[in-house]
Amino acid sequence: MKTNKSKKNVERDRSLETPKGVRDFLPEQKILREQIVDVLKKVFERYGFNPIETPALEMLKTLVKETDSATDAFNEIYRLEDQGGRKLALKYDQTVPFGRVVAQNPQLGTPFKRYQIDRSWRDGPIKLGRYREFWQCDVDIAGASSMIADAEYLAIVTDVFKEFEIKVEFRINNRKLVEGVLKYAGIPKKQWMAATIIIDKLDKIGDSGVLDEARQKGINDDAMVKVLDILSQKGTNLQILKQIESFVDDDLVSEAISELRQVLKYGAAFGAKNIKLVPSLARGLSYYTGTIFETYVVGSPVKSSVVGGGRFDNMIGDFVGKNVTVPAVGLSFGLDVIYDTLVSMKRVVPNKTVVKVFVVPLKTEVQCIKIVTELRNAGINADIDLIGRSISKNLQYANKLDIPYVILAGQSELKKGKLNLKDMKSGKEQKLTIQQIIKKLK
Amino acid sequence: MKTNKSKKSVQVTMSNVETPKGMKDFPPEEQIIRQELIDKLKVIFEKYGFSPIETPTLELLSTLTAKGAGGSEVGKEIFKLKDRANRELGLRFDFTVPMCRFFSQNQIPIPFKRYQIGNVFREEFGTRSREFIQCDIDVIGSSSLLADAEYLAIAQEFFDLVGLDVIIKVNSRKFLDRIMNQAKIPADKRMPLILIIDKLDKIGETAVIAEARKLGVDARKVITQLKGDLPEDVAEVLKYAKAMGVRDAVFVPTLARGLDYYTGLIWEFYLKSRPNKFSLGSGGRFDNLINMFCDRNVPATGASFGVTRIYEALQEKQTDARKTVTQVYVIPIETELASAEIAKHLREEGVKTDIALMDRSIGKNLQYVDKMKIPYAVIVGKEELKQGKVKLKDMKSGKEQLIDIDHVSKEIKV
Repeated sequence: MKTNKSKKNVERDRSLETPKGVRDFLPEQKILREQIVDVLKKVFERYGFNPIETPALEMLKTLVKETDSATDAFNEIYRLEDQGGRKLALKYDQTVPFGRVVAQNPQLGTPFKRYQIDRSWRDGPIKLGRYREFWQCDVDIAGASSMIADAEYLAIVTDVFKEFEIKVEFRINNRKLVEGVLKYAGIPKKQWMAATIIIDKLDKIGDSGVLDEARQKGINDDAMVKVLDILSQKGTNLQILKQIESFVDDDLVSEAISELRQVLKYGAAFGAKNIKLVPSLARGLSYYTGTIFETYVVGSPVKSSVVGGGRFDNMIGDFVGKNVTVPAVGLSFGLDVIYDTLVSMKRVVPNKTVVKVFVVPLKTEVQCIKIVTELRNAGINADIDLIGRSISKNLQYANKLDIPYVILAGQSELKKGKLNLKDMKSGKEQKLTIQQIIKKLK
Repeated sequence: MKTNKSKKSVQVTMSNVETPKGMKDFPPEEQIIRQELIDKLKVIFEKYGFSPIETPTLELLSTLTAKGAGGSEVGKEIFKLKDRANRELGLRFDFTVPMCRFFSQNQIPIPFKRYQIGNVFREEFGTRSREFIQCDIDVIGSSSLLADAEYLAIAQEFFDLVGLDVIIKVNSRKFLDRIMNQAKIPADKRMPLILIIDKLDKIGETAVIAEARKLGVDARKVITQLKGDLPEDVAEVLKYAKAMGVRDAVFVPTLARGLDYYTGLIWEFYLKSRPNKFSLGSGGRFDNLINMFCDRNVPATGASFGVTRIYEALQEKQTDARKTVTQVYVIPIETELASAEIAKHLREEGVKTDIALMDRSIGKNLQYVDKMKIPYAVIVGKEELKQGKVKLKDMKSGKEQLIDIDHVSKEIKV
């Protein structure tokens, strides 16, 4: 009997868990996340990007091609079937659905500039800072081949972080630069992807690390030494470009250098600062074809990139088929890492509630309803005791939720047209009229 | 053969680009308005002291199918899946079950006033969407009628703000139950009887009584009682609501709401022009539901706003959907760099600005501006630029003016 009972308890508790790798957000976290999202939206719209929404579920065949079967993304997709036996999947990013929307809706016209702030799901191993259900804030353009589009992203990121009074540093590069140098060094095309992804780790594992990994992949050692030599140029951005240009005579490299010069020039016109050209930068994804971006926050204890992306000129065309090419470029803002950065740099203080003032009636319910209504009409987030608790219990509640002000409305003060406003931080009380309170709290 | 072939070719072209059944994309012209609606709701919810929370889309299947969780019907409608460790999961089908779990799992002080806006999933047959937006606002831990009255005020304020004429119907579940008990109407006949009585205005008393007789009940006593005095709890909530500025709330004794779990006041918001058909939201008190999920026995009351319905109602009113948020489109004529600076300047002024990113002619660019219904275009030519001026085109009137660069934002904001 006893065992049975305890087992039942266990079952009950289990139904109160969340699945592994997914999270609840309490008001304390959610309010701040919404604030961040609001800033992103505001800036995205200022740049002419429009919101869209796509479903959480996509047809499985939309998300995966059988040729992807070796990649992490393929293995980490949540799959399911509907009752009609259709194979479905939860989307693992916002980029593939973006590609589908563009391919499916030719009437949208180009350039199509959209943003989408939404969840993605990956059934991957859970590590620090990695979740199975997570938010991405993606901002992409389809149909624009001009480097103004690429440069504009530098301005967008700058503007977003200016709102939080935070300085950022950009690292940029161009995939064609890396590929052109690989080509110049004589590395065969089929090894470019593998070599590119290894070179991207240069900062972390150094020359010897890169050479070791390249050797394991069967990439020619001498050629790789040559590549690293060229890509390790130091100096200002323009000096680096000039040096590489003087070493390497290759079409891909010239194209990359010309594009990078434009991005730097337009980026400066857009007012972006701290742009650092890192010739080894590549990002670990296969679909990039041109400009590559990473963004780091200056002086942040969080060392990861907060925004990354680049140009992917072939993805949508592959999707449409028929040899169509639709150039595209975009960025993804990581909501979790931005949240962590802002909190760790104390740029924001998480609030446990949106409430600014809490009204406690002292046998003055109907008057207090009018007071709380007046506060709300003035645009102030106001709440009122809904349980009929004692003053001290109400003050405890306000204290627990860090509500900044409490109004104590006693009959004798009300007769004089005054209210007791208690500043919960200092503990000070003031007798004020409702108009004075509104002025103070607005 | 021919039919077959054409069918096949359709499938081929569609194969990579379809959404799952019952699910859809929202292009900018819809999403802009949806977001504005949601933002308006949020501002009002927060003014009333409700804070946002978020729960995951994925829940353990056992949580979703726990007792009382919407009944067996919903169980069949849950999208089910498994994670890599073969744990059974499901996509949430409402916010009430996750809210109860959330409240139990986290040590939340009461009253807990929260709202949650997001998508939920149900696999239903027929035409209904399988993924749809849900917007819930609840208070856990208060039995006060004041908490109920707040929903009427929120509804009034919101529908006033978006310009929809509504009628806010209010009734008391206790009042209904008391009448049914006194008239000894069996439990399974109560809901059908109310649905019949609800037609009183339309078909008249005799027809209602006749129809009720077919159901096997005598409706006369019930009708008399329903026409009686205003129930006390409704009277009090209407008094509070009036103090909060509510104008459109009315007592409707036949309002019943389909769900079993309501225990006190119930309300539903209807479009005034279609007071029986077009529900824009609803809610009520459910004092016994939280207890089914956790050991805390706490009262609760809440409302749902039907974002999709509200969107549809607004669409019927105005057809002028905006295709973009952009207010001005900057077109460089071999002046890319200067144009980028002008765009930057306009954005700093808070103007939603886009810049031509493709090598298109002025004519093509203006066509695009027209197609997207962007109100203004700024054309940046070399000659004008030398004088510090650009050409501003008002797309609606077609008028063009040569204007100082610094004056553009002022002109657009007017």
